Amino acid sequence: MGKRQLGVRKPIEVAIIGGGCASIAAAFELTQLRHKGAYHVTIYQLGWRLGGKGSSGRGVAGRVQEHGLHVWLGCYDNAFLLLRQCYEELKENAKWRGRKWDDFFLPDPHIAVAGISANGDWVNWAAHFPPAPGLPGDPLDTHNPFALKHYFARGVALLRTLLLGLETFRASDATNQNLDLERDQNDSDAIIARVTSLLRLGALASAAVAVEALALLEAALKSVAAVPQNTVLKLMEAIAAAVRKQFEQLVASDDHVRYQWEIVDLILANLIGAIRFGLLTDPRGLDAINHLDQREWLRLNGASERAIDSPFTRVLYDMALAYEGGDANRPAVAAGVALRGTLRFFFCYRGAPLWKMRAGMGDVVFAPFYEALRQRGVTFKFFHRLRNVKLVDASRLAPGEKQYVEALEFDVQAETRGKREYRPLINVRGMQCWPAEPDFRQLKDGPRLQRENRDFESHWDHQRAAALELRVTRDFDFVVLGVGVGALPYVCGEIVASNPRWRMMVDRVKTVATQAFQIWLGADLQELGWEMPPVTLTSFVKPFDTWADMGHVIPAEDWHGHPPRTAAYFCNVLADPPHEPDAFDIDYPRRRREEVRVNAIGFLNRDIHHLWPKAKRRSGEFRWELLVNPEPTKEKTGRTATRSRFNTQYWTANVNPSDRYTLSLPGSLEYRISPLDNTYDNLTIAGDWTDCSLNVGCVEAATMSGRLAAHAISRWPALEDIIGYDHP
Amino acid sequence: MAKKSEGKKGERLRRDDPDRDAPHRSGSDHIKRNAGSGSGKGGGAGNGGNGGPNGPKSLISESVQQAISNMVQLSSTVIEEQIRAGQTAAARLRDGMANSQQLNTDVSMMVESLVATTKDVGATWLDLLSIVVRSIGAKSAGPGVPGDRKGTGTTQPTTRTQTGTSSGAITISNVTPADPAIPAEPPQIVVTGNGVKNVTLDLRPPSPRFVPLVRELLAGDPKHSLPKVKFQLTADRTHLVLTVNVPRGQTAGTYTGAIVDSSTNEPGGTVSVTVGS
Ligand SMILES: Cc1cc2nc3c(=O)[nH]c(=O)nc-3n(C[C@H](O)[C@H](O)[C@H](O)COP(=O)(O)OP(=O)(O)OC[C@H]3O[C@@H](n4cnc5c(N)ncnc54)[C@H](O)[C@@H]3O)c2cc1C
Repeated sequence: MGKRQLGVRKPIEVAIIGGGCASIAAAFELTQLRHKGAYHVTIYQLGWRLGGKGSSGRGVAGRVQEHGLHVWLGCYDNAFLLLRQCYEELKENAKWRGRKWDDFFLPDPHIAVAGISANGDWVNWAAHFPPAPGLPGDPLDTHNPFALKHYFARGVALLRTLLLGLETFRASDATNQNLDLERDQNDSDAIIARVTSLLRLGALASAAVAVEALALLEAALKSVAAVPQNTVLKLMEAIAAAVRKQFEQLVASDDHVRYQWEIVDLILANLIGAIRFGLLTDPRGLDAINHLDQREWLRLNGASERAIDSPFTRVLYDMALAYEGGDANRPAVAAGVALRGTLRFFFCYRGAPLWKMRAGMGDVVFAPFYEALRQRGVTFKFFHRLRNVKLVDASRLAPGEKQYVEALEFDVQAETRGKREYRPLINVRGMQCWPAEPDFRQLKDGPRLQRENRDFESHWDHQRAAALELRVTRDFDFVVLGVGVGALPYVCGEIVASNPRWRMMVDRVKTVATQAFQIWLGADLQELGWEMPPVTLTSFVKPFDTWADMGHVIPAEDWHGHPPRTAAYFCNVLADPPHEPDAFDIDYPRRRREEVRVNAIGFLNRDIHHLWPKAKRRSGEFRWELLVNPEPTKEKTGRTATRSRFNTQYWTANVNPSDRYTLSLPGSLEYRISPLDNTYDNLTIAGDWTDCSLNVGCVEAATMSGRLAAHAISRWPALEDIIGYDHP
Repeated sequence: MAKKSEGKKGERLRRDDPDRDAPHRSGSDHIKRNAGSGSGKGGGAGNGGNGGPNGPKSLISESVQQAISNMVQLSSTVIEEQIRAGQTAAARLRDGMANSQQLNTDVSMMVESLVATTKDVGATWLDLLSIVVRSIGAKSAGPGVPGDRKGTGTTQPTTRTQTGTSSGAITISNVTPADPAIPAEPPQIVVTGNGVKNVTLDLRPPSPRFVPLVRELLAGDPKHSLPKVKFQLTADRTHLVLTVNVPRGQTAGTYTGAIVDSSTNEPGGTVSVTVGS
């Protein structure tokens, strides 16, 4: 640590570049009270808002407009821990008084997947995950979710969930109505149908873990004993006929049985693999299999091709946006990362497996952090785009001295009027929120900038009002580089050119562009024909494989008495064009957005009826009138809405290099560099792309990375306190 | 346009090298390191950043090993409830499941014991179960075994091995007692008949009362079996011998089978016999 820390009042200056989850976590840790003000943090952020890939903005009618659908998992211990501390700290803040973190998070116990059935239709499978004790972010010594008992309890819940899924199926299957064996004693066909079904389940499942199969066979046996002899005989014949058919046919004929089987098959393959590959004792933990793709790993461990192609495997790819180049035909995720994520997801959640925000992620997460950090004295510099991290010339280094960052070069995109501090938040229904656009009134030349339709977040917008150079010791002591990995070639040219490890990292840690759209609907889910609970559904058709019902956000919006009945968010990867756009192609983001608009319209016309059968007209087209226009006065009303109604909704193409989603490709993880790395002794990195242990593009990994960056500078928090850092 | 203030040049601060810059990933290591940290003071939410430790003291014994053993234990709990078989797969896994072949065989064992309990229900049920068994056989035909490690980490039982030859076959006899009270004495393997390339016995007696019985050995294609593999006691009744009798014309292939307790059906090992062409 620097000597100045001892006995000298002047705080250590930390410049944090970027205001995403990782940067904010680093800032929050460095300004904890325990440091007694030893660190003064300044956050330099391009554009007008914090959040990065997790940002959101309020648009017309106070609508929440997300960078992309964001849900938090119940196992995000680091992220929830810090966020809860933040809310706690704001208790006394006049704007936040009385607001608790759990007022803004909705536990969601339902997860659904969609898959193609034997007859080519889409079938949905929704699982209900029973509530797990505690809440995410609870201190671990209270609930200790990682102790021995924890996995057991979660394991029970998991299989119970599987079995419950099965029950639901049985109850709803037309050929297999809830039969009462006593009552239907003489209805041998009915009994045969039931027992045949049981038999199918048994046969299939036992091939995997001999769990359900054995149980259900026993059940079948008992049922047989309870019916008259001739029925037994008939039954036996029916069973024999059924089982003589190949398993393939059994699976193909019964989608829900197939789902059940696929999950069990995948669990077994992972168990076998863990043993085969010696993961239990390998010092690399699950990283030992990161050279393999998840599917390859499952295949190596005997999973059936059906299970490998199943929605339950796809779900991992879809949730991790794991499609190289955004190409649906190039799914790729490192097996170790996927398995770690899965274990944590299933076994470590508290409360619910998913937590959905009741407003934008910007409002629920980044606005409170902004307020709390300001309260702690953090300085925010919006409209500051880092252009270059300048290293000291090696010839000027003292013997044994490490290379370091000598200067940070910025474009100041816009200046505020009267050099006043930019105040970024607005109030929507009593809540502090980020607007979807900058507040031009606060900016020098604001009206002109607004007229010019300036996009301060666009990578291709190079205009600036001024340039700024920060120099080491004069303006900063330490740097936390918290930009997205996609931005590194543009801001760290010198480092990338001179340091082979960085070059490899930039080459190998790839990213993918994403697309998202949101629609606000005048009908509720039931009216749309969706019969399951409000869910988060994934592994659906491309180009939008993930859908979340977000009706619960509407009360936080500002619809002036005519709120929509529900809202739906969709999200997925966006394929890269054959050639990269050139550096000055300022129109590029607009063209990509247009592509997303067309994709979304096509998807609504072509695919959504698989989920919402009542959302289509007789002609097969989407019922465009379902979309609620936030500015109805500007439009003729009536049932004849056309696809142009879609233009009143929200869509986005996330193509800026920094905004691209970080992939965890097989064979890439070892090229990540840790925030603890000390090659440049006044620079640390932070972001979901760093070697932060979890190593998957998510809020939790970014938070862990930010905490590690804080540790690198201040030795706090202890590595053991970064939850899950030492996960196998 | 660049702004350069002329501030004085102070002393440059440096970060010290960290104690480490990578996670401790080893599962068993992890358990050891966490074993004593039972009551770490988790600051948790509400700490308000006031300087107390703001995270848990690594009670995170989220080891894969536990996850797996618990999952398997769970599986067997379901079985127990439903068919009262009382055979816990978890115990076997914990006792040191060495490879997938064994796991598959293990599953086969359960199904086979179900065969026994349902025999009297009729031939149709047996048809069904043989399909189940076959499907498991198909699953075991996986690729090679990378990282061929034994043991599962923390409480690894010791294995004693005796190698030898008999009728031209290489014999490997392992014994891994679950309990120190069980003598760790690998049984002798005696092969009669021709064409046997090797015999591997992996005996894992779960209790001192265990009396091993070999089930029929099956090839990858379950149409082919090897029924004459038996445990016997030496004449002085002090030592156990595994006799492998391979008839003439036995189809080439690897035959594997389970070892169970002769009275309780509790599984306790595997045998594999490779017959050359
Ligand atoms: C569409 C989509 C959906 C997602 N859904 C989920 C989800 O449901 N759950 C989940 O956990 N995770 C999800 N993620 C991942 C999650 O958003 C990220 O892992 C996380 O936000 C990354 O945080 P970060 O701090 O590492 O990076 P970022 O959020 O990218 O932060 C980087 C920051 O640096 C700033 N910056 C970049 N360049 C410069 C520059 N030159 N000068 C100044 N500032 C700069 C950016 O504006 C930004 O503020 C999703 C991601 C995407 C893209």
